[in-house]
Amino acid sequence: MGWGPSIAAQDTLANLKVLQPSSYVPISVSYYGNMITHPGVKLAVDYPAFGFTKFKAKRRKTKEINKLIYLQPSVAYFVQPQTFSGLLLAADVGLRRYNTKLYFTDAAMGIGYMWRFNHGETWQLDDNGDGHKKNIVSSKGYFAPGLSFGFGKLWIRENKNAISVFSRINSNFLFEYSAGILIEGSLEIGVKINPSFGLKAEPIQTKVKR
Amino acid sequence: MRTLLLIYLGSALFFSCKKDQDLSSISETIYVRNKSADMPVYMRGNMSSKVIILIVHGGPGGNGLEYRTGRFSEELEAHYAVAYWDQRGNGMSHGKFKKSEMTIDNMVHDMYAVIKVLKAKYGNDVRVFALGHSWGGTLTAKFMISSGYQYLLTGWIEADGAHDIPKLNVDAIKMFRAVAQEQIALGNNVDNWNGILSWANEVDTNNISVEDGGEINQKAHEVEEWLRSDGVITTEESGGHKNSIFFGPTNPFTSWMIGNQTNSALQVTETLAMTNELHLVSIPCLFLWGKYDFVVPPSLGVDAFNEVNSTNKKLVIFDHSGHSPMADEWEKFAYEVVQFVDAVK
Repeated sequence: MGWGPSIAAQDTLANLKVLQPSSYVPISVSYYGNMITHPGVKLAVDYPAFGFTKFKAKRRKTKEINKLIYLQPSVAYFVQPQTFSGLLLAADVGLRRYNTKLYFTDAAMGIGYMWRFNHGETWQLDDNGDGHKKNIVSSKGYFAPGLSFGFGKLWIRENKNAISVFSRINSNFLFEYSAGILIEGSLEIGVKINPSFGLKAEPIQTKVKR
Repeated sequence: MRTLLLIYLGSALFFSCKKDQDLSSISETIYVRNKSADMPVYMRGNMSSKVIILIVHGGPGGNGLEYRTGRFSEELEAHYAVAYWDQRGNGMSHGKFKKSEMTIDNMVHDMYAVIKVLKAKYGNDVRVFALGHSWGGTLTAKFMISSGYQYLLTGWIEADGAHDIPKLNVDAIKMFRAVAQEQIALGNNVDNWNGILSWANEVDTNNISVEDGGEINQKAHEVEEWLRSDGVITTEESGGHKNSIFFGPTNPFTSWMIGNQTNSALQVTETLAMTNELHLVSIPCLFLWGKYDFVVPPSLGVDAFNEVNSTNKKLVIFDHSGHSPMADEWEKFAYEVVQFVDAVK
């Protein structure tokens, strides 16, 4: 059986509860550990873009798989002790898959730009060839597309905001970094809420497959 | 308004209470920006001495703070300030430049910039000594013979420095042959040394390729381990400053990844030979070499000692060391450095 439009209003409503628990944009905050332990924080919002649901008939019950395509702009800041701090602005597109118990896995890819701010003073030679202190914050920026894989759990509570906890592994590819490409890894552990306030999200389109 | 006032007073109190830096034990990071590269210099140790030992690390592909894990660094930091510099394309250096800009000439200019910055920051009266190890010996040798740069330094310390790569390869083969026979006669690791002897006898020393150079380097590290297991080379003592992989200033994966790319980009160094230009060097020099260094044989140290025009020069061969005497015989190594620096500073 192929993909088709929503075929039952109650199904669509149930699926929407998972894929878009509130009509506001979900917000996540997470620990962002560059190289796991170089501490940082990441803020992101998820714009649900499109959802689809698949029902699989099992012997005793019907298994429901919900999938969501989302867009996620984010900002992350972390510190490599005594060396630099990093600021990453990114925009990912991802696919998240929920099982019946609302455990989810997701995979995303996106583009980003990372600034590295030097720790301490940055000096350079002046026109006379002598050392000259730079008085401004010194940084260099790198185009940094990335990939990420994660998992988590969503709780939908009656008359309360839906909440998820999640963990993710991210890798960013810093281009033109010292005449090469630097691959950086980071671990994220965070919480996401579907608030009943904030940025209003457009209702998503869903499709159901039986 | 009241809250703002409290924040202002709190901040003023905090900053006014900040202690002046203790010059006998500094710990700070400065960056040197040169030719599109931002290179960290980790300053540690005793700045009240007004002497800075600039560590020019090996590789290419190493990093400055690798040298801080050795016990010799504790001794040096007690006497002097030590500048652990991450060269362009190495360690935690970063920047946007082209592969074609990853040249030894740019790295020499980087070293010039680092020294000028150290003098600008800590005063023109600070005396800077360059301590180059292995690849750092290549870089410092090139610096020494480049347009009067040497006079920025008070002294040059070359430890197992690769200032002549073609000669290094030829002499390493000769050394493999000689030491193999010596070790076979002593009954040490006989099968292994027989294998090395057969291999070394087959290498045409008049025609050593880049691939041969890589194999020589790999086997050089291998035989050092045999000599260490037989007690010919001293086993490195534990101690020194610990660099935490997860919480320290150097991310080992970043350093490894970028260092490897830099190492590939600098393959041109296989043809670099500077022995014939070392006569241009006239500042005080100290050459420190491990007797069993197959990576950069001690014959290069002997050549450098003979070639430089310095009136104040010394060569020390460490009898129980391989490529890193600062690790194998750290006490003697530190002693020689301190004696040299104190004599000429």
